[in-house]
Amino acid sequence: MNWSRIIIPILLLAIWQCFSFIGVLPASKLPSPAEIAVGLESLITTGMPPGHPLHWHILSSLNRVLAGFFSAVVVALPMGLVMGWSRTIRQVLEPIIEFIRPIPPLAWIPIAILWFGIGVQSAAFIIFLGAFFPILLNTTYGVRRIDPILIDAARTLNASSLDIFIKVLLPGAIPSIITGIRIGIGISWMTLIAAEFTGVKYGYGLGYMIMTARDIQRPDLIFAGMFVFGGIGFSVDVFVRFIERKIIRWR
Amino acid sequence: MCMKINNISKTYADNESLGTRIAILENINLRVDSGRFVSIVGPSGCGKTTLLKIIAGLISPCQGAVQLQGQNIRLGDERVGMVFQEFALFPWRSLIRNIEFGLEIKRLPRSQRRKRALEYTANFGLGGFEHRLPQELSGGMKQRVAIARTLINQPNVVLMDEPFASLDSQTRNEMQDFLLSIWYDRGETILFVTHNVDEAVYLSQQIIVLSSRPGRVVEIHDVNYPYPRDRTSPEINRIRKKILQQISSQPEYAKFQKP
Repeated sequence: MNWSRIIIPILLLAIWQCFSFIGVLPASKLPSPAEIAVGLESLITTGMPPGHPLHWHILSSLNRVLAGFFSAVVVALPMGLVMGWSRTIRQVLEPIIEFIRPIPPLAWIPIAILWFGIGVQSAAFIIFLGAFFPILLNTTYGVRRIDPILIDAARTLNASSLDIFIKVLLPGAIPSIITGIRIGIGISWMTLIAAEFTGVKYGYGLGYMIMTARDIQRPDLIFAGMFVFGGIGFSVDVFVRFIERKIIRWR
Repeated sequence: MCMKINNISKTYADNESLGTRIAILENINLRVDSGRFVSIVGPSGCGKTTLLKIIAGLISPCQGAVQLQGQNIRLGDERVGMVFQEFALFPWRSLIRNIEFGLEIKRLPRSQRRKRALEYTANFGLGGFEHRLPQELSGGMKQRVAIARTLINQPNVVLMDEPFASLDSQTRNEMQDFLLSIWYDRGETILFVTHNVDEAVYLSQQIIVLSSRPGRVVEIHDVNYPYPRDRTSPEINRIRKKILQQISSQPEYAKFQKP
């Protein structure tokens, strides 16, 4: 265990607290860590807006992310496997994908609201777009970098195309797929808050909670919300990396 | 089961815009009798591997056919197995699950698969390593796994594409003896591609020398010496010398020697 990984962030917080205490940092712009901690506590107990406690915001945001993220996995994974496998299909789809991919997910918000209205569906759609491309591209790449000799070996052992798909391409591409999932889930999470800034007008959602705190000029609550956001993103990444290590012993 | 290679030719597109093609193999005719150990040698790039892949059905020839017992060989033919140069083990599968692969494809129940595979691990000196991943095994062990994975399907003909090329010379010698002992016990037909003439002479009953590209059969040598052979005996050296001369007199080699 490298203790400096823990000590240095604590030290930084302490310095920040000192600067706030001696008045270098105005509390109206950047509240002290202690004030943010108090803000976090009020988010948990009272809620923002009052009566809307933090855990419901978190659950509602996670619900949107998971809906969008899993639909991205369900579509991008088989599509990536097929694109990695067939040169023809790749050549047909690649220009279309490369045309749509540079459009930021947030640019889809107006059309998403028009299509799905304001709610879980439109937010999930935006998140879907954010997660879809990294998973698709990494899966395709993962399949393409499988040593062709493994496919030859499987074919000489009488494997059908379906066998090769399930027993060679999918397991062989797993490391890249997980990389894609890690990137995709990170982008999902980032896209979510922006989608909630504009896409949620009432109810729950971390992005909506932060925007409400801004409306009433509460930087402590804004920072507390951002802290929660970072913490969840961090935990999810740790979790995915843990799964990665469990699954991929071979790389 | 006699294998007949009838008039195989293969060309590859060289330059698509000009429509030119490179000939790799030209009119290969061979007959390999059942249970024989036959090697194919030749200068690099003579199409040895291509020929093997054509026999396995991985590549289709431009002309000709390969028959086993009068029937054309198709891709995935149960009567033919192939062992690859770089082992071609599935890196995410444990040793035993690599060996089981072919049985899994045959949809054999798990317990039967495991039982058969365990027999192979024991006979191939792999006991105790069943659950190791290929990356945790030595080169010699990996190649034994690859051979076991092919043989568990009980093919009649085993195609081997420079199987020992990436092993160190000590391990290679051990593996040669190991292969001979398995072949002696089981009696499959072995078609063994190598660029190493010493290896071919030590192992095989028949050696086919191919020319440089496009590969044609230069000569077929019978090596009628009993096993185990002495690598340094005069008879072995004589035939070795002759084959080496035949290979080095091929144009590609001459070009390298006198630029």
